Amino acid sequence: MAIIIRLDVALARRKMSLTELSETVGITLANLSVLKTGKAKAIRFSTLEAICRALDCQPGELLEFDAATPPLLADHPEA
Amino acid sequence: MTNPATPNDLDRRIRRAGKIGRFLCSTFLIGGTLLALLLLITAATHPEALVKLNLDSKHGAQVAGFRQSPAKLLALLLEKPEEVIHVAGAQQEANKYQDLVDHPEKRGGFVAVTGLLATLILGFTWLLRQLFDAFAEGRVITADNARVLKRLGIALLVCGGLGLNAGIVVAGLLILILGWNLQQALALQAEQALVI
Repeated sequence: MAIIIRLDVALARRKMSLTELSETVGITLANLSVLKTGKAKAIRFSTLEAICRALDCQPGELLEFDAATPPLLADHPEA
Repeated sequence: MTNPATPNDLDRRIRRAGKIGRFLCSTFLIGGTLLALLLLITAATHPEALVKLNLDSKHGAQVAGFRQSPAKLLALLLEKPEEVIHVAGAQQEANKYQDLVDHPEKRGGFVAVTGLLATLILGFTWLLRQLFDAFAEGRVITADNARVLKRLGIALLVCGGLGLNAGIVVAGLLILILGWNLQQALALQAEQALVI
């Protein structure tokens, strides 16, 4: 997937562990781990908002677009 | 008024049904395999033994009537000769294995067709046993079960198609659709699990 989650970087900057974030945001550690390892297919706005509040950051700090990665959907070649 | 079943009760019931089904399928598999082997070996080597068994239940009563004591038969022959001829004909018809005795060249074909049918039925039972095995262990809605359901449906479709039985074909089609639906639902669920 061309969208990369930079959760580990954001956590390292704030010297916060995944367990601490899990407790603050109220999302299970397993789900946060899925997000961190880039296995997630989608992220809800509510989850993104909660993480941004907990880490005091902007969504752009957590998400990155890598144009070099092949597109996920065949009918959206350049999207 | 009865209380609705709690998830624990339901789980226990499913496990129990699974254990019973697994036991029945295992018994049928062992018994069926032995019986099929016995039938095939006997048909190939001593088909006259099968004729004596008179496995056809359709004319069983008529054949039993024919096996009366000679005195009774003689009386019947004198009083109603047409009935004796009819019953004798029925016995000839009842012994479908007589053909194998009269024509040894047909034994190979009989063994091949019956063997194929037995393999299909035993294979179907094996799939059913797999399904009950999963139920006995509390696994109900799983990808494995969906796959087994699809295979069961295909097996029924083949059996129904070979036997030209529309009822079995429809049942097979329904089970196949059920398995496919379950597979699609599980795929959707797996995808939803990755939405955080």
